[in-house]
Amino acid sequence: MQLTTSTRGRRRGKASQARASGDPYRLLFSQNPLPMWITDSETLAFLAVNEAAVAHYGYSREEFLAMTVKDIRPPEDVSALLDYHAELQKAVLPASGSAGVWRHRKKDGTLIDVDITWSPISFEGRQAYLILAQDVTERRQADEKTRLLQSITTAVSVAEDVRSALGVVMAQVCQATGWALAEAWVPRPDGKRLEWCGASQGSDEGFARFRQVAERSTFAPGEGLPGRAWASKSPLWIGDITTESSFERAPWARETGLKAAVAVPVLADDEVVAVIDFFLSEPREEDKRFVGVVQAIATQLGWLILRRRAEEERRRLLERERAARAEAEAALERLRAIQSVTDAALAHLAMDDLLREMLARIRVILAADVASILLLSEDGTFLSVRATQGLDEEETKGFRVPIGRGITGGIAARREPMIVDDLSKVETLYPSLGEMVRSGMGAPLLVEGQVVGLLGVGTRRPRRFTEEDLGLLQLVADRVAPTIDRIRLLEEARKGRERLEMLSRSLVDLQEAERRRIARELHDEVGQLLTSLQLALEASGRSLAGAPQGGRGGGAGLDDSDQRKQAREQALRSQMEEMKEVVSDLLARVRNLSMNLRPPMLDDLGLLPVLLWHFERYTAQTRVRLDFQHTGVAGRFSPEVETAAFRIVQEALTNVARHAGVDEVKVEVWADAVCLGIRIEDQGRGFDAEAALTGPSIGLAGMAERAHLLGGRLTIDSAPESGTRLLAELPLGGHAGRGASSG
Amino acid sequence: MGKTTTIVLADDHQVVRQGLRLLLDAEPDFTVVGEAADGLQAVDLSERLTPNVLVVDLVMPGLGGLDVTRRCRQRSPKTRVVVLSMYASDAYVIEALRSGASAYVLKGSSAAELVLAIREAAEGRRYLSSPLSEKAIETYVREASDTHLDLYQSLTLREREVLHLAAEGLSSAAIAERLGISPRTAETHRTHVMGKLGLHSRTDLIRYALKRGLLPAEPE
Repeated sequence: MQLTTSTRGRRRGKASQARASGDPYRLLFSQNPLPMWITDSETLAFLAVNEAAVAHYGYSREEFLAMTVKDIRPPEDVSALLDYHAELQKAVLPASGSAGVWRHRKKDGTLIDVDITWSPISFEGRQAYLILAQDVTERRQADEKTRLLQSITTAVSVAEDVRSALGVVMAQVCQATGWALAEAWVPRPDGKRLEWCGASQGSDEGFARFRQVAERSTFAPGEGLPGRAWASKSPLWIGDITTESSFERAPWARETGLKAAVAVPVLADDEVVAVIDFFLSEPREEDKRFVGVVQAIATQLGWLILRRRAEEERRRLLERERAARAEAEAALERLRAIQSVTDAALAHLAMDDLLREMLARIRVILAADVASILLLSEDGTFLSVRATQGLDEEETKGFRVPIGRGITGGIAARREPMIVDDLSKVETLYPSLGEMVRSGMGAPLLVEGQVVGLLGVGTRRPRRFTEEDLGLLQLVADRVAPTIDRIRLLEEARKGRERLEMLSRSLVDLQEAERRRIARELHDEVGQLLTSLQLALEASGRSLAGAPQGGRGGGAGLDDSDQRKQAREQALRSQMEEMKEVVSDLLARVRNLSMNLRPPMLDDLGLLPVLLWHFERYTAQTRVRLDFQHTGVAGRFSPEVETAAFRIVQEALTNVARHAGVDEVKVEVWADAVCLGIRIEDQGRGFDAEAALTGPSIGLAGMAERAHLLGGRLTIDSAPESGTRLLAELPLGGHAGRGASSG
Repeated sequence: MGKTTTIVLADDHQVVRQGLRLLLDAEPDFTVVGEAADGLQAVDLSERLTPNVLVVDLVMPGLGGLDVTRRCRQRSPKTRVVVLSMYASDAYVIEALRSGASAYVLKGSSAAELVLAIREAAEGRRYLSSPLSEKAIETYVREASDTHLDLYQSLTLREREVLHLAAEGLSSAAIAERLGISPRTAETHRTHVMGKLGLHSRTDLIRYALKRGLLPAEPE
């Protein structure tokens, strides 16, 4: 078939052309929607082109037929084409088929990607190629875009941060598109300027200087290429930076040979998170395609960044939630531990085990080396260690802290907990403590607002206890206080019971001893005298009957001489005298016995008279002189008070006579509306008062008990070699000094 | 002379009464006009019979001898009382005398002494059994009178501290703070000390403190 390409045929139109030639297949070529042409296999000149080619490429048929295939290539691709063609000629490549995708240039200069399919034909007698040129630019672009996006997406998603993500983007884009250099800019944390955030690895060493300048630069919104992209939130293209006055780095650009530039903002949620600019080594008009690709990438990057942020946020929230939960659990654990300090199970333990267990738990909760519980003494004046862990018990046995003295005493007095950062720096009552414990905290144990003891913890090494720690200690203290108080009360009760038992026993003993004494005195002294009296009476009886003394016989003679009568009378009289004396003696002894047991004047006359009476006898008996001072005791008091007062004085003076080794004692007795007081002082040998009051000797304990029973108190201040001072105070309950009714 | 002294005897022991009666009947100028076995009876008889002398035992059931003495002196002032007692203690003597008795006779004394005591009492004079003496009585009275007792000396150290601080004007709370004791303890001490020294108001306290020189000199 012959296809003419003469201009003559042109006018006839395509259809008529075909009709004219009468070739039905001609339409396949001329009307084919895809551009097709036929080229000379040697010269590559266009021999024929179809309508689609003309329409697509913009050249007219005449223009086409005047060109070769080379002319529709971008100049830089021509050598590749020629090589390919050469190979073709050599028949190395297949006879027909796909030549792959090449770049063509339209008349208007637009570059397109074209998928070439060809086959050799014979045309007008020449060896020719029939070529089908399918414009796959869009597809290609799309593919390219997709591929690029994919690879970038993958790379970015594994990137650690925005900076490395940007790096990936820059590297990949430059690689894929052939742009020479890319730079990334990010807003500074204060958001006022853009700062350099990295660059692609410019292959050319010349870029080094350009880059150095970039590293130092910052841009305000609207300033410079990146700054303007930042402000406008849209890409900015500069065809040739060397001629662009606004480009500051133009001089360096000139050095490096960079010409075209584009800055693309990366948006995340409408906020510019980065600006990437690309540079090309030749000037170029705005390549919308390229910008589109980069923008798409930027969008992806933006989304990725957003997602990253969201993930980061979520991770942070999760972290915070986890931390909060951990804290709550820790607090719950602490609470459980605090509760466990006094849980029900402890109730079954013996006192000491209970304390030990509690202290062990307290040490764990507060992470302390030492924990101690101190209890308030019965009289409420000092604290002593009841139980301790972490310290040698022996060391703390004698610890006595008066309320208000030292740190511990201060805590108890103020009823406020306290931290001591360094015990070695403060004055303590017991320096040895400072050696064992370096830092500590103490909290008062309070029951109904009153101090019953103190809880202390300490560490061997210095530690800064916090307010929170102190709060925890006080919590624990509040928790254990009732238990501790219970222990204290139970022990007090036990001690009270023991004392009671002891007193009861002693009382029984004393009663027996006294009965024994009375029995003996009655038997020995009174009995003796009564016996002698009996004898004397018998003798008198005999005398009366007439029996002469000496037992000489004889009956009641009627003719008794006067002499004998007189002798008898004399004998009787002397016997009677004797008897009277015996009776007198007896009387005295009986009275004495009675007085010793209980002087009647205590009931009849009152305290003062009985004391005066007692003192007289006492001095006579013991040679100990008394300095007696008194005021307000002339009247009567209740029998219990008078008796108790008398007995206390009696017992005290007995002790002085027995043990003090002095010859003078001072006795003071006074009374007012409220109480009756007794004070006895000697400068004698002294004794261990505490041991006496709680020990087996019941004399003093008995006195204390008497005072106690009346609601009063008795204190003894004495120590070996330092004399003795006894003070008793008995409340008078309003019925003070009942005066003797006057007559 | 020649006047008969009428006597009522009061003692809860019949034996003693009989013995006394015998003794007194032997005296020509004594007439025992009544006997009582307990205190109430004694008072009653004295009131009714108005004897010159009532001889009464100190220790009797019901109303004791001292009470009998007092009542008798009240109701029948003309009757002199002679107290009979086994107690030789000055205290009893004083009390008996204070109650209005004219004479105090020890039970161990001789009959003659009792007779003498009754005679003296009837005459309106005082008589004390020989072991007893006026001197002893005086000594006793002296001893029994209030001595000047410095109660300040009987205060404990702590009480003195509280007193000083209170005199300076500190409140109980401030005192507690200063001494390192609980406020309750401080208040207790304060009340106790004030009571012991008989101080009822701040004015009393300050006056006391000034008198004793407890307050420091006035600051410039």
